[in-house]
Amino acid sequence: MPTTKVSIPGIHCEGCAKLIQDVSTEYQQITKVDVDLSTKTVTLDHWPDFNLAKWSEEIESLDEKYKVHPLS
Amino acid sequence: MASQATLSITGMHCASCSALITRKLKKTAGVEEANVNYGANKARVRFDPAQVNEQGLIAAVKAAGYGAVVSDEKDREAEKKRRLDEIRSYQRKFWIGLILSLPMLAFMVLSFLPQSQIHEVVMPYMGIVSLILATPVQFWLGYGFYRGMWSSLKMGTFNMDSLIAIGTSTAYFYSLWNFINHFLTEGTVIGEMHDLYFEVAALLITFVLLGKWLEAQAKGKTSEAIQKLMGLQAKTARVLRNGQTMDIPIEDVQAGDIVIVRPGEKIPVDGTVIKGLSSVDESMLTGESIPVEKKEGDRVFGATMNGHGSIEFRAEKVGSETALAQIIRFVEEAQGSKAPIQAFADWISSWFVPAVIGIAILTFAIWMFIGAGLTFSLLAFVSVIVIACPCAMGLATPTSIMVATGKGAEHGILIRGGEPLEAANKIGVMVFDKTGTLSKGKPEVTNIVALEGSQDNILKIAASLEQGSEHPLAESIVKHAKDKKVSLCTVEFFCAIPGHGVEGVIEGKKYFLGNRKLMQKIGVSELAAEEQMQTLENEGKTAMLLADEKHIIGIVAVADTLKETSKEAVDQLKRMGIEVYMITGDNKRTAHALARQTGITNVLAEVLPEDKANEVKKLQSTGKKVAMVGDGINDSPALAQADLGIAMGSGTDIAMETGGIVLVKNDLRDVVTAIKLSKATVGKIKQNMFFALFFNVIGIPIAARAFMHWGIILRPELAGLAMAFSSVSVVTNSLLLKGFHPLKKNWLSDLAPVFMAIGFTALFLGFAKLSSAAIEDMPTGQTLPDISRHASNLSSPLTRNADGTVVIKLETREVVSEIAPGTTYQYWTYNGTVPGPFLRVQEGDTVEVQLTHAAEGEEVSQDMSFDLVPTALADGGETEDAHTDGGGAHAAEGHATHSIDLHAVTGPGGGSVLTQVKDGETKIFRFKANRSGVYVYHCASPHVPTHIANGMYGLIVVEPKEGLEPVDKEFYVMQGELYTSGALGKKGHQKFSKEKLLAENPEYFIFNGRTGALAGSGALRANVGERIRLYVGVGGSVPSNFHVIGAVFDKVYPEGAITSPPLRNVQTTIVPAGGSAVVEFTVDVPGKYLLVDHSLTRSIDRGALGELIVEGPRNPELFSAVNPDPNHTHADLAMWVEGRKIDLSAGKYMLDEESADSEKETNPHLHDGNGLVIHRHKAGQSIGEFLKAIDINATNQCVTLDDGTSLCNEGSKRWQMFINGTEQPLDPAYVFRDLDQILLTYGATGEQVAEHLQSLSDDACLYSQTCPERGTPPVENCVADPTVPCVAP
Repeated sequence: MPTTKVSIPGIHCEGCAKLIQDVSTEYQQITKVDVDLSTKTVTLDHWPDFNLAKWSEEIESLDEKYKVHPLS
Repeated sequence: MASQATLSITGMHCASCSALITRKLKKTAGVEEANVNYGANKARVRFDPAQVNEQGLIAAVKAAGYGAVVSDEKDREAEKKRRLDEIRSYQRKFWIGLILSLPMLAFMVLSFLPQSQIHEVVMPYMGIVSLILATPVQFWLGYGFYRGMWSSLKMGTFNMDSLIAIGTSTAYFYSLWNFINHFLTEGTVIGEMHDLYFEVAALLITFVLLGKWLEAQAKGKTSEAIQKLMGLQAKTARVLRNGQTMDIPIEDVQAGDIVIVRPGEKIPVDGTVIKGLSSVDESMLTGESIPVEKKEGDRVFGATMNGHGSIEFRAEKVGSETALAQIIRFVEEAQGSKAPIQAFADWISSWFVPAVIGIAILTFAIWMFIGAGLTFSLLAFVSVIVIACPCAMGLATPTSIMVATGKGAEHGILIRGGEPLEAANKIGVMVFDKTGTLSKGKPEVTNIVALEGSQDNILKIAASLEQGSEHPLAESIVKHAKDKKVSLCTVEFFCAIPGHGVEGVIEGKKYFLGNRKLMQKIGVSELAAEEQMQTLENEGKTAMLLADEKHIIGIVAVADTLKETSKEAVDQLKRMGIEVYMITGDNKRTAHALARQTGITNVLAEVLPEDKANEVKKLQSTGKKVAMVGDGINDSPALAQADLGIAMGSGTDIAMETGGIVLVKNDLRDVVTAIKLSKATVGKIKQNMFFALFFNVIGIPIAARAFMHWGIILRPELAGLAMAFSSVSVVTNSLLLKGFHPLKKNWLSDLAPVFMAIGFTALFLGFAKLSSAAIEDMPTGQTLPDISRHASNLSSPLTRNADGTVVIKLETREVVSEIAPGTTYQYWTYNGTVPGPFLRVQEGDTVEVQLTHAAEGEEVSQDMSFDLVPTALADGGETEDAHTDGGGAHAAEGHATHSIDLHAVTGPGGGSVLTQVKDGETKIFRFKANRSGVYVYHCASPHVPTHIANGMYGLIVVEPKEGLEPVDKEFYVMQGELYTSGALGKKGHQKFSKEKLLAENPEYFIFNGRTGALAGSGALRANVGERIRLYVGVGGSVPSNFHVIGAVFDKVYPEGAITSPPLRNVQTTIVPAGGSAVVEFTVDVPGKYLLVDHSLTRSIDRGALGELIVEGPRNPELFSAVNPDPNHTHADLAMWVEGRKIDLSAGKYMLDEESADSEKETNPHLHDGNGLVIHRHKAGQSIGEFLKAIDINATNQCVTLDDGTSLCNEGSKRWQMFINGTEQPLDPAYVFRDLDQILLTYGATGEQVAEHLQSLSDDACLYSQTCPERGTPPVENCVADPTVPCVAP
């Protein structure tokens, strides 16, 4: 199962983490989402057919501060 | 039809919370639209009532982890009230906290003044009062912190609340634990208690509440802008439905309704005029104060003000779609998206708090591991938590902001809270609105062009015409005429032509004043004026034509002019490196004309109100912090969007509410001042943050007692005081901002951090030192005076023959000293030591006893004097060190009086009835020493046993006239008991326990005042062969079974009866309570003898153990170890040099023996080639230790002999060591095994080594051949000495 790690510099509190996790639950391809507040990164475990671009777009639409930068 | 609901949301702490709630609401079935405003704590939801109700919405919000209640528009008032309540609640809590904490603060101060009388009176009640005061602070006022910690724990994080909750709880419960402990051991809640830190917890909570109060005050004002905007709306609308007009609530207006607006009414919603003509003041949208003509087909906007006409229009945009609603939304969004700048607080909660807790736990664990004891470790733990609690940090920001806002107000700059101040510091771009900001906002007459006649005449006619007009431009013309003192004429037949101008008759002649359209209408050619008109219009001016019925006679130009100070402000900003922009809804021509005058090159013209915010956003997207300066309602979205909104005081309320900073004087130079103030304030906040943390960070290792080794530790209450000081310093530092002046440097404020850093470091070290000095449980307590009187500190035998008068001066003193390392006690003493001075008089002497109850500062220089030999101290004792103690409060401690009862006295009370002395008193009595003997003296003031138990006893010897038999050494030993509140071994300061005294249940038995007083440096010392006399007394109430382990008392004068014949050869003698014994013996064998009470636990466990160290030659005849091998004369150790046996009996390697061999050196010390043989029968000692005992030092390289010569490995010469014939490297650490034979040889040749080995083997052979049962020799070629007989073991 692939893992994708992205950096979202706009993350600043646990509210953000919950928000991102909440969005991610709507993607059935995502099996695990881990938000690291200190490094402001999100690690996603997902099936290969996961559409990162769509997910990123949705995250970015939540708050203008959220900009998704893929790390791996 | 969709319903709309507004929910009040609680628990949101940042913008992402609002995003989360929005998502949750939108996902709820039936919700059509959801809009959550973080700043206003509101959620506006449109939903289908068929699918979901308000309760469902609330449940959805709650599921996301937040609170919600239904709120309607009326709730705004409730909301406001709630905010006010919050402020009041914090205010009230703070004051209550302060009132409750102040007495504890006073206690804290008092505890540093232990000598004060108030301290003595208050001290016993401090514990219980503190508990009563601190409990409500901890749990009622501090409840919010527990709740905050709980909610953050649920999220798995720490925040400031957690730190405060943990810190205060630790201090509180630790204190409570000590309090209960006190209650359980003492059975009372009153009395002196130790390790209570209630005040630390209470003060901490109070300080933080102050911070919260100040914060709430600042925050409470932020959301008023939106409320004001809402208030702009018309409440009702008059609509035409089904041919009828009706007034309906504005919410019910639907698109398509025909709305009727009468003169002076507000236009309720947006729409298009279908009937009527009027001018409408749209300043709230456009910022332009000139009303706009509205006729059929023109658009009108909600909340704008209708002028003189009546219009009907078709509603097109209602509810949330109106221009006003959009502005409100912009403001809401801009406010909500501005997450508070909390990087530092985030850092605190995510890193600092767990780190501190970790360090505290580590501290505790390490001290426990080292074995410092539970109390000590726990104290260190508490200290770390308490000192780390950055309570000053809660004050760092609010106080600076308070002062800065106050200072700003002085300069006409209103600052709304800390955020704008912080933002102003970082501004890179400054955007100015044009109208009303850079410009005066009111048109003024700038040019008068006379085509016919004089300028004055043109002005006179124009002003006269405009007298009757309410048009804003008219006003400026009339004002100009008045300023120029032009008298106006009366006008007849005045008529205003909307959209064109005015007409009227002056002195019979008709004039027209208006725009081009008016000229066209009346058919007057404007050609003559066209050129000048265009020039004026290019300058951004509004030109009006004045004409009579045939010609244009003049032009009056009106323009919005620049404020005098605008250019200076722009220049200053540019000098500060800030980019300056101008933004306006006005046309480019006007805009550029004005920009040129100010020197602004970046002009954004013809910008719609909602786009102003977008322009700001665009500038922000370049990464710069943008400030917006404006005054109109149309500016408010941009003000809110900008990182910093600055509103003009002359501007609309809305702008002022939206702006973070309001410039009351409308002087743009104040923008510069605000930025300077902001920079000063932010700098101050950073300093404060630094100091708030500085204390904690340097305090942590000290509190953890990491520097204890260097005598630097910090008690928690001092940690608490340091904390209070850090708060005070932060507040003081903030107050220095008061010296701010926009044009001057605030030196004091700038230099303050340097002074603070130096001052506080010194203060801290001072505190630490104070802590170290006063600490009860510090393992090294050299700072306390030693209570014990040295056993050899006694007066010499008397040599005089004559009787005389001996004057004895005694002073009673209270001395805090150590019973045992780390355990202190307040002794009551005569002259500062236990036992008191050894008094020595002669039978027949008259003794005058002067007893003084020491008041503060007094010192008695001599214990005793004899008038016949006045220079000699009758007591050979040293002059005592000055030790002073409180005089005034002795009564409270139970020793209002002291006295002396000398058992040598024959008379009532032994003198005590004559010597009851109060504080500072001296009493004298005399007695005749008529009975020789050794007697106890003690204090006999009520309660007598207590006085004695605390150390007030000593011996007086009345020598017989013939004197005492001379001895070599005399010693003074007194046994006593101590009844401490804490059990044996408990560290810290111990109180006297009367209960234990009554139960005759002492914790300590002591010789000369404390445990170990007569050991180590206090040991009794004598030389072999000396005769020793011990004066042994018992001051306490338990008789002693006195014995010296290793000695037999060849004479004992029991019960001090020195004139009676002695008992002979006594091993243990009983010394009665309040009595004495004199024992004498000779020490013949060197070594250590032990002085004990042979009720041995008293000595082994409870302290009454002394040492007598005797030095001198060994006396094997009298005392020696028994050789297990009788074949050997050399016990278990033997040494030979060059085959010569060395006499070890003197404990020394004897090198001065003559050598029998004349060819060899006379001193058979080690030299090249010879060797040293050691033989040992018993295992255990190392070669090095053995050699050391006979004054030979050996290292791996060198062997240094007692004569100072040293032989080291050098070139080919080296030390060789053979153990049982096998060579090994020289190793002083080699531990003998049984029967080891060792050869040490230096620089020996091969032959010499063989020879030495042979001599070594001789000894081994010696017994192996004569006593074959001992085994085979370790080396070959044994040569036996048949003269040594073998005796079977």
